[in-house]
Amino acid sequence: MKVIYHCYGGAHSSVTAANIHLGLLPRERTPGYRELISQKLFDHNQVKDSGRIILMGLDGGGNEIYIVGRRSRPGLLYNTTGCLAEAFGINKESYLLVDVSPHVNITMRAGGILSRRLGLVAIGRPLAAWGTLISYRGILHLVEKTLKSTPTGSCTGGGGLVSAAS
Amino acid sequence: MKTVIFCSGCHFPISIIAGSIYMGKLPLNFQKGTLWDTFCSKELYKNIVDVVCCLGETPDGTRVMAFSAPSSGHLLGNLTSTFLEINCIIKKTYHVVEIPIHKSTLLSLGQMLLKWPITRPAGRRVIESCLEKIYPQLVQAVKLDGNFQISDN
Repeated sequence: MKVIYHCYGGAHSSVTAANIHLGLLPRERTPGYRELISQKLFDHNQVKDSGRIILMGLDGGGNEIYIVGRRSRPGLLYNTTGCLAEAFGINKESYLLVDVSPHVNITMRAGGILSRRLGLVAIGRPLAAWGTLISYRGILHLVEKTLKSTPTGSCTGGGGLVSAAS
Repeated sequence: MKTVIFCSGCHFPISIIAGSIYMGKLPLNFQKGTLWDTFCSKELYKNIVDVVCCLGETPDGTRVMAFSAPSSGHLLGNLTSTFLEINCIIKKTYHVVEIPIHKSTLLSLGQMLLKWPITRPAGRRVIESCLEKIYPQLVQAVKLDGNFQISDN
């Protein structure tokens, strides 16, 4: 199964969620600042990368974990993937879209804009990391929920929505 | 079956016009009447942003699809390519064409004017004059990026 974590820029919250899912970030505690910013692809994606679905790795159950930044257009992501799946005969149960954006706080937003859009990495990255640490428990909760809907070795979930709001 | 997917980030769904040119429904040279009859008069420009339009098939069996998402043409192109890639769809079977026209204030204005009967004629004129300007670019995009051999005759 393909699990696709998506958020606005695909640089902070979705990356963190994917790394928690892959076991690269701790589930029993909140990581430290250094640990967080040194994670794979954190604060990496540029504006030009939006829409690009990037493979982060395989989890223990063989599920492929991806991230994507879809700007402020979650509907576009759902429509496009749904229509393409239909047109190309892709099983809609074979992928799961997970919206991480409900866990994006104002600090992460500000950090993301400064770092990714304005190129002020020195200010933006620590700010985004700080915001991510604040939201870490929420993101972790979302990942745990996602893990429950993608049990090892089985394909459940479908191209639906998993979000903290539900 | 080969599929050609046209993506545009314009508020006006010009990817559908490009797709129609590709399919031969619209001529290579701009003709106000034809364009209006096949596209605008049927109000095809309504409610077709953020969704995928399957325009049909060409005589040689190529399926033509059009995506329009305001201000998100590049996002759409990336999303389409990578989604098909991760699902192991053979690259030879599809071709994503990003229409290089991203924003047109005049087209948006014309589209808005079409909403009310009293401003509709003005809206039509604005859209037609705007499309006339960008039409050669659309034809070029179809010819070059669509990797399509169109006879100029």
